[in-house]
Amino acid sequence: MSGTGGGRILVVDDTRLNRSVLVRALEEQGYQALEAADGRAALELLASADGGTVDVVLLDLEMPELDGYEVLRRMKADDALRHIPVIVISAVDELDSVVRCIEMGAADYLPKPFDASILRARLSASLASKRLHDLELDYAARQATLLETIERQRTELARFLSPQVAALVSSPEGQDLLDGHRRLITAVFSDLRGFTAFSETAEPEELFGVLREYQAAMGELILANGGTLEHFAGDGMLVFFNDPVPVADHEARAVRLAVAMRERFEALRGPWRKRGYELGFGVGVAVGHATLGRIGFEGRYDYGAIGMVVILASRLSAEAHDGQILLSQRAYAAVEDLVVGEPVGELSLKGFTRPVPAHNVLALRGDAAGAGPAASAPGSAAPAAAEA
Amino acid sequence: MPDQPLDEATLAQLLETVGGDHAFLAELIETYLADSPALLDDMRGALASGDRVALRRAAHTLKSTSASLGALALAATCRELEAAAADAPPAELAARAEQVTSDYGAARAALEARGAQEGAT
Repeated sequence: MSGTGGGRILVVDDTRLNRSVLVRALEEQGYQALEAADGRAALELLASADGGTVDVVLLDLEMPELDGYEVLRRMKADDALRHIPVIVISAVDELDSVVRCIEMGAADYLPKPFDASILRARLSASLASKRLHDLELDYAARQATLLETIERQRTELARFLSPQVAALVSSPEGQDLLDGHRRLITAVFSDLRGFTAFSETAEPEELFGVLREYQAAMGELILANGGTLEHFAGDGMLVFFNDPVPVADHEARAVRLAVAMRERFEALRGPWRKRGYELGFGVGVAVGHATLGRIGFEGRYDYGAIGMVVILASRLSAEAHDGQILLSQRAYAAVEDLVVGEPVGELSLKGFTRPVPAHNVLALRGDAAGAGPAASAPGSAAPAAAEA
Repeated sequence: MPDQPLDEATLAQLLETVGGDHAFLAELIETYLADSPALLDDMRGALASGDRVALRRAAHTLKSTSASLGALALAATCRELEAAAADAPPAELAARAEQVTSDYGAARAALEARGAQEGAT
C-alpha cells in the first residue's frame, strides 16, 4: 500500500524523542503529522478547527496530565471524535494495556520500538476505515442536499406554475401527460373592461398596483376553487378545470369560480373608482375537448390547452359586458340547475361561422334567494347603480 | 549482547524508520542526551520522597526512550524498576535505581560516541 493520498495523523506522546521519530517516519511515508505532548493538549487540538481534519490518532498511554486511556475514553464518548481511529502506541511488554484499549474502542496498536513497515500497515488499515466512514458521511450529506434541492425546486415550481401542474411535473405519470393528451375541460376566460384605456393613461406604478391587487385576489380564488391557471396575460386570465387533475363537476366548479371572481371584483372596484380608475370585469365560460400538455419550445415551455373551447371562452369574455358571465350552450346545460341565468341571444363571434347562443349568469341558485348578490348588478345594470 | 550498551539491530531499524537520515538519528540521540538527565533526577527525587507513582513514571519513560535508541540493557533494568515501583521494599527500589544509574552511564557514553559518529556521516 503506498502512502499516496496521505492523511493527517495526530501523534500524542509525552516524550520528545518518540514524537520526533514518529513525525519523521510519518513524513517519510507521505503523511502530514500533528503533535501533542500530553492528553490534554491532544483533546484541545481535536476540539479545535484543525482537529476536524485529523484522520488517525497515534496515542501513547503513559502520560502525565491526562493519560492515553482517558483520551481514548473521552474520544469514544464524543460524537464528533468517535469515528477517528486511534492506534495505541505500546511496548511489547505492555500488551495487557493494548487489550484494554481495544476493548475501549482503539482500532489497533503500534509496537515500540517503531518499525516503518508496521507503521505503514497499521496506518493504511485505519485510514481505509476512516475514509470509508468519511465517504458514508459525505454520501449522507449529499443525499440530504439533493433532497433539499428537489424540495426547493418543487416549492419554487409551485410558485411559478399552477399547483396542479407543478405536482404533475414531479409525478410519475407526468411525462405522458406533458407529452399531450385530449380531455374534456371547462375553460374560464376573464378580463377587465377599460383596461387598455386605463393602461394608456396610468402611471406604471398605478398600472402594476392594480394588476397586482387584481391578480392576487383572483389567484387566491382560482387556487381555492381548484382551477388550473394556464396564464395571466396582463388583465386576461385563462383557467381550466378537469386537467391535469380530473374533477367530477368541472362545469359547476368553473361557474362558481366565475361568480366568486365577479364578487371579488366588485370589492376591488370601489377603491379603484375612488382613485379614478374606470374598470369593468367580464367572463366567458365554455365546455369542450382540448389538447393539453407542454406547449412552447426548449427553454420556455408552458402547460397549455389548445382547442375551440379555449377560443370560445375567450370570445365570450370579449363579448361580455361589465359584470357579465357568459356561458356557452354546453356550459349552461351542465349548470342550469345551479344558476339563475338569462339568455343573451345568439352571438356572432370571430372565428365561428354560425351564431353562438349564450347565457349570462345572474347568480348562483342558492344565493338568488338572498337580496344581496342580485343588487351587485350583474348583467346590463349600470355599474354606477351599485356604487350609488 | 547484554553486555553491549547499544543494540545495533534496533538502531538500524530506527535509522530505516526515519528514512535513513543519519543526521536526524544524531539529532534523536542529542534529544535523548538532553532530556534523559531530568528523568534520572525525577527517579532519584521520587525515591527520596517515597513517591511510588512518580518513580514508576520516570522509570517507564526512561525505559521507553532508551529502548527506542537500542539501549536495551538500560531499558531492561528500567522495566524491572518500573514493575517493582508499586510495592517492592524501598531498599530493593534503591538497589534497582542504582543499577539504572549505572546502566545509564554506560548507555550515555555509548550514545555520545555514536551520536558524534552519526553526525559526521
